[in-house]
Amino acid sequence: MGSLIIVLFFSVGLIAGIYGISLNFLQINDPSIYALYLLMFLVGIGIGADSNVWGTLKKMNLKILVVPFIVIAGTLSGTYICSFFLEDVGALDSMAIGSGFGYYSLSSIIISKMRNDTLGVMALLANISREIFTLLATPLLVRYFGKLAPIASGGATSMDTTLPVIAKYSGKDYAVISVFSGVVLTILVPFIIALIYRFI
Amino acid sequence: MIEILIIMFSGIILGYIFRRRRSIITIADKLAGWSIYLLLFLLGLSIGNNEMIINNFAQIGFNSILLTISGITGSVLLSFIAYKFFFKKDETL
Repeated sequence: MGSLIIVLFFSVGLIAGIYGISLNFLQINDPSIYALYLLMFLVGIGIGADSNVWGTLKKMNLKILVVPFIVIAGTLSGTYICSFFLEDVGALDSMAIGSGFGYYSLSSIIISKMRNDTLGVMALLANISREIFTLLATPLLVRYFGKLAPIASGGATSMDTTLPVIAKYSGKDYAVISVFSGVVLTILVPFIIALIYRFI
Repeated sequence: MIEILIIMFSGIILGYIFRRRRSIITIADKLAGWSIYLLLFLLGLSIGNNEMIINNFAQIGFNSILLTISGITGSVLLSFIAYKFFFKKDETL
């Protein structure tokens, strides 16, 4: 539901832009950077106030800790290899787009600010697809790759949007891991993207 | 970009301090939702203005899907290995 509304707003903006509407008259260099600052502040408040976040962080043990890092390592190596087959996307950009881990709203905006709109759109599409794929494929992922697989596939979304389907097919025990991994990845998204672009 | 991280971190601290004041948190949540809508609208707008992106949309979409597949494949394969060796043995966590 949430992602439908987001896609709707994006599409309305897209169509308005195609028909020549722009914000250049505002004379501000980039109005959306201030909206991004506000969003990051509010996202932070949401994370800080979420009892789920602190609760799962307290429950963590060494084995659970491994899961988000598996997702990070797997995604970065997968997208790094992928960049060899993409003509117009470099290795760092591929890895930065992958580092959205399904958190498409934030990653697309950050990447379009740090790099350009083309890569921002790619981050949006690639990360929305990650969520959609996980929602659809979780039963198959569990059957062929084990109960951790949908958590790995869901990335940052495994704490909210894909959690219900993961809890159903991997079981309640894994729901805790799912929330933990999703929380850690959600918090790390802006850090990892910023870190990757440090190398430019 | 360091300012973004500092802003987010101060939000986390404030959110933790005010975590019992549900009304404040609810307002922050609502505002976060609306600023995401606004930002995605603005992103759509600037992409609509950008003919290069519009004309290459098929290529961009294709690249995105490849990135999705490769990212998921990498993490699912690693999780499969971890599951087999560390998690499956004792299903009781």
